[in-house]
Amino acid sequence: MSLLQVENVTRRYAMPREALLRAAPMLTAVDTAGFTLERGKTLGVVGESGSGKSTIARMVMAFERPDEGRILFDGQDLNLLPARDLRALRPRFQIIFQDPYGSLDPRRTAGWSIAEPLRATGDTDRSAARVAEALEQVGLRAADAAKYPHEFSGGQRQRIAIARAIVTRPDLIVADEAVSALDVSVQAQILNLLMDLQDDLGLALLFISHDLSVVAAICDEVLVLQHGRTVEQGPAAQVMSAPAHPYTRSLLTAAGLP
Amino acid sequence: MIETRDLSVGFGAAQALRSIALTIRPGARIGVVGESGSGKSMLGLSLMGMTPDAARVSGSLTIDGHQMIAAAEDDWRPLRARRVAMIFQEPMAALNPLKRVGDIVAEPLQVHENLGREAAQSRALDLFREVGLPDPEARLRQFPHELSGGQRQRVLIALALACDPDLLIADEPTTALDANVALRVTELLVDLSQQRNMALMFISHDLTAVARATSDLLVLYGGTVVEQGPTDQVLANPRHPYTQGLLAARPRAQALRAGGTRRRLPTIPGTVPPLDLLPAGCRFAGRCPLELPHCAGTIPPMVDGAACHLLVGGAP
Repeated sequence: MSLLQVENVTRRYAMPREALLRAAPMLTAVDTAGFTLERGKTLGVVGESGSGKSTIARMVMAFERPDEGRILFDGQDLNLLPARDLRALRPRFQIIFQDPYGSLDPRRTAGWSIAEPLRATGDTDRSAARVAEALEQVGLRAADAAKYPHEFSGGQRQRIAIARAIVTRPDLIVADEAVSALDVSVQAQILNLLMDLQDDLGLALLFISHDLSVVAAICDEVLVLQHGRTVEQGPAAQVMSAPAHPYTRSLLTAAGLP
Repeated sequence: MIETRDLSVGFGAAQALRSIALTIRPGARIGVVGESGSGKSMLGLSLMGMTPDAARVSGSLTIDGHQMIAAAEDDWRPLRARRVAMIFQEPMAALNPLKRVGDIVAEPLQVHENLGREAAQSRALDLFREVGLPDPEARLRQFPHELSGGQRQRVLIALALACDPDLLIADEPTTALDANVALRVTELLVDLSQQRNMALMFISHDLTAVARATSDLLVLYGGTVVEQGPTDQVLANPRHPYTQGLLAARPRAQALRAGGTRRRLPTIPGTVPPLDLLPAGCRFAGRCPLELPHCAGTIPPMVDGAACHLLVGGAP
């Protein structure tokens, strides 16, 4: 059984009403998307803004529900689980966001932020030891737990966000534009860290990015979205070397890839 | 023509820019690359006379022969927009959300060029056509929120062009845009520079965009120029260890996925130190894989476009 199975999910949003008595127009953010992700593997979801990438991330994290289709994590339908069971499952899938400045509370220590997912599930025994372990796994020192976000560089903050994602020892991490805000040399360090952690911990990675060159470097499989529709899907090497859809080719050209 | 010699910008004991020598001729397209904190934006701001109040600016900066170091705000005002104009990364933040974009572009024409309302609107329409905004007549009446990100950036470019500047400084103009849109905005900036014989300074951390947009390149690290030269030459044959490290760190699909396994990316060890902790000599000392004992203490001379002790006395 696959770790993550996304089956024909569709998500629509109501747009602002154009007239009082007319139904609000609907925007289909994700249109019958489907994929599976195995343990230890990486799937890249690529597309421009408005393509539905982040909507997929939010549905996989069970932050919002699909209108159609289902999402199975380790065989369990996330949208059928009772709230308590979903909460108990959450430590097994975690997320890293794009902005390492906005995703950490400036008034709390790094250690407090990293321990947040542990507190959310009431799993606070040995929380200090788990935070220290996570910090060391991302290449920081255990003593850094006492520092505040402003004492770290952008790359170090993204390491803290990664430490927070792995502190619950998850099976799946959703990385939503996790390296997009970083300078190229820091980006390389963080990509290497994600690959190392994945190899060491057997993590599955759902890697969401607009940057095809980054996706090509780290992903096994790629899914290309345009206006919510899947225009291409397949092994990364194949999609990169022989893109079948003109939209994929235009993304490759724009990214400066041959 | 704009020239800087030994241009430095300091804050207390820290130097944000050190001894920048730069000549910007009409129609030149100069790329400025470097990581956060390298001084890219400070260089752009100092050419606009817009460094923060706390900054100490020294050296020489001439615009058409006029020395602008220590110039008063009143001396700068007539040069901005007409001689030097700037566009920024976040097009939404730079546009007044309560004004129609046509009025935003017409305003500097009414203020600086003394055009009447009608004439200014008509010039704005011409500018909208020039920057390739679709359906330009209708755009004049729209508000910033009604436009896409790429269209907003085109409005900002139209605004910057309104007073026909000699130099357009574009600070991360494509960073907030999708790749396809970024490519079209880059092409527009190159076309405008060529058609108007306007100099373009393209500041970006995106090496792909810089390679497309510019003919000459400055690589900044720690507020100093570590390498400069023709863009294609610097990118094809980088000589400074920092430029080499920066280029190597870019993910390149073919190299990485060869043999079907994931390879790790080459990285530059460590992080950029805070300005006040930068080494007194070569700023890259402490992170350089090829460092010599005297690098950290001695400022390296610029040899054939690269400021590196390793290149002194013949090529390595």
